[in-house]
Amino acid sequence: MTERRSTPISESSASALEWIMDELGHGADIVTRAFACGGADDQPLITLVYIEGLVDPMAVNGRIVDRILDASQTLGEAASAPERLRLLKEKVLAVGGITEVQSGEHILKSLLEGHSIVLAEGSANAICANTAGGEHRGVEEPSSQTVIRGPKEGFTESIRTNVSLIRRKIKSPKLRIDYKSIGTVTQTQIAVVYLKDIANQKIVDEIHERLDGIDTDSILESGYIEEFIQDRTFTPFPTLQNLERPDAIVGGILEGQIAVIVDGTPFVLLAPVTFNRFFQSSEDYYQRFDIASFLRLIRFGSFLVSMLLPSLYIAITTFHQEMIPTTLLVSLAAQREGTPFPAIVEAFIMEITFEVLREAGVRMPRAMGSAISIVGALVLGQAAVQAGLVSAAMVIVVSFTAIANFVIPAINMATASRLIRFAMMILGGTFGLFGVMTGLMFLLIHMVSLRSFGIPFMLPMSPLSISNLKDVFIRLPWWALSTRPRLIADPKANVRQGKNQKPAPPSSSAGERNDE
Amino acid sequence: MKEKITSFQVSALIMFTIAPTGILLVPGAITAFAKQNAWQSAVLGTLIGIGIAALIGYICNQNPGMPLMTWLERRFGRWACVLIGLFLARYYITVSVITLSEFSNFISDEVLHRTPQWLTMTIIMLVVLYAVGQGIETIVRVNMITFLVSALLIAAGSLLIVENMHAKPLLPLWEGSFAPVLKGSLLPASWLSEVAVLLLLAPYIKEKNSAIRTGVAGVALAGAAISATVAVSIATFGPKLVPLITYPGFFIVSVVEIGSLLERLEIVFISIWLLTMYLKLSVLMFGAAQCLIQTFRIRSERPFLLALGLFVVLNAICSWGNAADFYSFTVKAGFLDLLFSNVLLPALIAAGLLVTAKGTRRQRSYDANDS
Repeated sequence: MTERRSTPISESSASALEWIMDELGHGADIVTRAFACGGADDQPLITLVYIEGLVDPMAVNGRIVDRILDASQTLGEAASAPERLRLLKEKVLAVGGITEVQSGEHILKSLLEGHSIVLAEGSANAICANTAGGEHRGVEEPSSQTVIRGPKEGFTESIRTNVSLIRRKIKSPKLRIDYKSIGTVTQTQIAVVYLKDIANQKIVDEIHERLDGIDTDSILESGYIEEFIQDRTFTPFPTLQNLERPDAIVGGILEGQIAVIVDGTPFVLLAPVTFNRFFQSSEDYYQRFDIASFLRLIRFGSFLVSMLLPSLYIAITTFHQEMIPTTLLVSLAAQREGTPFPAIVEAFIMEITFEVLREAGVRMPRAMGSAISIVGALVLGQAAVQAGLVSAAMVIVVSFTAIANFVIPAINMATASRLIRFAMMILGGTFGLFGVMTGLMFLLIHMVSLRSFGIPFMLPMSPLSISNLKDVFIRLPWWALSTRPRLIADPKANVRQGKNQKPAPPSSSAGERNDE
Repeated sequence: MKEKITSFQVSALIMFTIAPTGILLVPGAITAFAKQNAWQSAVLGTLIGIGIAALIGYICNQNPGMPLMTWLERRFGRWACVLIGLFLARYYITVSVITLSEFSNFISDEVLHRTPQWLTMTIIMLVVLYAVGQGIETIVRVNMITFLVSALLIAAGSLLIVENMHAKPLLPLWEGSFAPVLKGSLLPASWLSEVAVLLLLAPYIKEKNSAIRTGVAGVALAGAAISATVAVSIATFGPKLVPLITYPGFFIVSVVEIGSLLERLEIVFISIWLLTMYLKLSVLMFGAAQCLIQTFRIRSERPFLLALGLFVVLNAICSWGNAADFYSFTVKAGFLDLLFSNVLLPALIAAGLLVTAKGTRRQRSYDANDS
């Protein structure tokens, strides 16, 4: 990192202002306003500097400019420069966050963060008033993680809004928010959010240590941070979660996880995570537990389908035809008769076509969306079969695989299964089921050896933790989830709620009571 | 020695070190000796195996938590340690070679008839080396997942095969002399003696002095699996047919038919069995690697593992001309090797421990008298 300099502020406002303008390259968006306050016109007593667009204009005009103009006589009569500064701070400026700064670098940093700087002639100190604001997107419904039942608010690009969204949900004095700025050029603000005494302090320290270790010029999205702080790079599996929903982040924080908010992106990171977390949707906890459990099983099933279905189809039709019921085998054989390629080539053609269509769907201008979906449906569906390029069964397999992939709530986990699918297809096409099982074994070894901030990735399946299994493949009713997940939360904060909360009807029915 | 595993995990691992090949090859062999009483042989073998497990556990409990070879060196001196280390390494390499051959023979017999065996062996070995490279903690954790999946599958499988089982083939009980039953019990016992791998695993166990419990539980689980497979195969096919079937364990499942929808279910069981074979081989390779690494204090483990893997694969390719050679080797030499390396050698170590313990105690009392 570059060495921190400290330039003293010139006592002359004019030269201090010139220094600031030089450093910032005389940008047109830098606004300066001089207040004579009874002094000479060419030597104003008070000068205001701020950057347009980064500040809240209402605050600057109403709480700073207006107030200084009102008090200009008092300010002009002040005995000395320090006295004037004291008056400004204590009587004039009606802004909550006010600090006195001594160095030029501090002034620049504050200006870029949206603060307004007030310089007083003859003083080597400046006042820095927090007027940060400006245009940014309001709180809207999250676009990538939608639910039917549950809060409809999503994080925005502003770190302040995001922190407040979390604060509003956890009204506890134990909520800790540690700020730091990372990126020597971008100076991006990062907030580490957790509940003291509930999050495991060792993991909090570890996250701080890894964040402090980042030495880069820029952080533009939480993805940068993720790649810098994850436990292992060479793995298809994500070991940090990113969420756009404040309720999901708060749910994680309450279980002892730690959130990392990055200014400029609505995607907030959550760590440490285990494999099963990627299959949970915040809606699971708002719906009835029975349907939530059913959907969890569907999601795990879909993950397996999305990873394995094409490879199993290839392996079985190429190597183990005896496994297929005879009637199905006959119909498959009839379909495959007309196709010129082996099953694996067929599957690759279809999978690649689908991946291309999918990527096109994301990149292309929205107006063309319907056109591409018609072409896609025709290419993928009918035409390819009629032209004899692929069999109809393969179209079913590939499209079901694609749809199963969308069931996984976490997009980064869905992408992992997409990548693994191709490796599995090659294994299934060359070594049949033996290849698929070998691939699975390799994957299992890999997943079990993964860790997220020291927590085993496959917890609670392996190492087995029976108490954690209450909220993995199924979700038990809320009253049964009395403890926090083992290992993730602070061991001392294991108990989350009282036991014996199972609801029951009153011992005598309401009707009987009325009769009495 | 940062890695820590629990006693239960190790018991499950011991089960899967023994059972995969046990359920595959033992039923046919002992039914040939003991006919309808073969299941008694298996039970008797399990009891002997439990005795062996107790002996191994006793030795492990003497170890204050050091890696096996480091500990033996401290107790018996450098040369004894090198001798034991080399011998055990030779044993684990041999068993790895045998298991790898069994594995790839099975694959080429049942699944991939035309794929050259060196290729399947290489692929198997790559996965195994990856597991061994990740360490024992990873192996036991993979094992736990496989354990849970196979427990579910076996429960489902047992429900399906009940209707094909008959009590008649198991009768009459205790017909003829006890000698064949006793003779038949030696084979499962020798198989169960593979529990000796506990010597290498025990230092990693979290719970202190739990080695006997761990070993006995592992052997009991594996013995139960083998005995059940023997009993179920006889109950399904009768004592005459079982010795003629190459892999009776899987053949049982293949007779299951639910309507015309689910046929040839054995492929599902074979798939899970493949996973357990990977685990077995990983444990054995871990044993071979650890014996050599600890004895010769090898620092750069990864290249060494690659070399060891290559050595085992080449051995498996070149050692036997054909399947008959291989089979006669496992029955004649393999059996003796198992008993010698897993029972006799540990017994010698135990004796050595007792003698040196007395020696040191006497020495200590002399020292006390002198002062």
